[in-house]
Amino acid sequence: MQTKNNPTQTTKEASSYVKKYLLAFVKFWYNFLVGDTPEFFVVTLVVVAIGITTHRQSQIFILSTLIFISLVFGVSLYRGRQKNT
Amino acid sequence: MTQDLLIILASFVACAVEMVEALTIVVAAGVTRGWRSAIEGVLAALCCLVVIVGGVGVPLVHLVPIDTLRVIIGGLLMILGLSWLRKAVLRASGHKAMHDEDVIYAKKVKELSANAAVDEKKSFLGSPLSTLGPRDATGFAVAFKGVFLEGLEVALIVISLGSSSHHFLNVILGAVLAAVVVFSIGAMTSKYFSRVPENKMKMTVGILLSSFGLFWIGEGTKVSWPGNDLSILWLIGVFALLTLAYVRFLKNMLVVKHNAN
Repeated sequence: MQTKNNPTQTTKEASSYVKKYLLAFVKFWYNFLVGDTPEFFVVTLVVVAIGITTHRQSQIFILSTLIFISLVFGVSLYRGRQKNT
Repeated sequence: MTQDLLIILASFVACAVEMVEALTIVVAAGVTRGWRSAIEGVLAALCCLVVIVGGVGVPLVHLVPIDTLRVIIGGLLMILGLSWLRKAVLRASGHKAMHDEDVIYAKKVKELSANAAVDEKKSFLGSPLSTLGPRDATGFAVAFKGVFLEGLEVALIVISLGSSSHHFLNVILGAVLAAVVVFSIGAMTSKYFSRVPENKMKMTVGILLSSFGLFWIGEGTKVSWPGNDLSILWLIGVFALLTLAYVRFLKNMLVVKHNAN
């Protein structure tokens, strides 16, 4: 007979809770970092990569321009989606 | 000195925007479901936030090397800043509806009033809700959710700005000032919420967070900034000018499109 305090069942319940919270945690960070604006996540990675690989004075202008272009791209994507709906 | 003032300003404006949103939800919950549960919800959310900030923020500053921390935090700030900036640009140029606290307040009150009517009916029929006494589960949950979610963003901004700049006191000062200003206005009357120019604040915060984000990624990856710390000023200036010009351009495009139709 299976009792309510069966250790196997308790372990299963605990692991399903951990899985659920882990998934919620991953989902939260995915929505925060990528969400509906993956272009900003990508440009941030590109900025970090350029920062690490090159060390010239001119890179500041390149980085600022890149960020502004990503903003324009993000706005255009939203407007494009609005037109389609 | 300039960086100190800018950090206080960034923290103040960013926290104020989130606090106005949280306060709108709390006032709506308090007015419709009773203040006791709303205040309890706020206090419970604040306790959770203190635990999170203490558990995550403090070890983060002591365990992770400063350059790595600057790159990670700079990246987070940049993503947050750019998404705020995108929304602000779309709203300012007329491509997206304005974020109206009055409309949100009215909508929340309507939802909660409808729930209250259902709950009263259930209580009359002898449902478990009648055993809750003067406390109200919906009011508590709504206030908790509002303060916790908006508070998480405040916590993220405080931890990010504080740990990257090593000016925790200035960041906390900005956040406390924002809390005092927002909650004083909220205590007087909720009618003032709609007078807060939220979109302009959001645009300012977007520019500040993106600039600080880029600056700290640069600091973490050893970029040589012209003018060292002062470069944050020209970064903010350049982003502000470009954003304003872009909003103007989008507005003109909309006018041309309307005239053509």
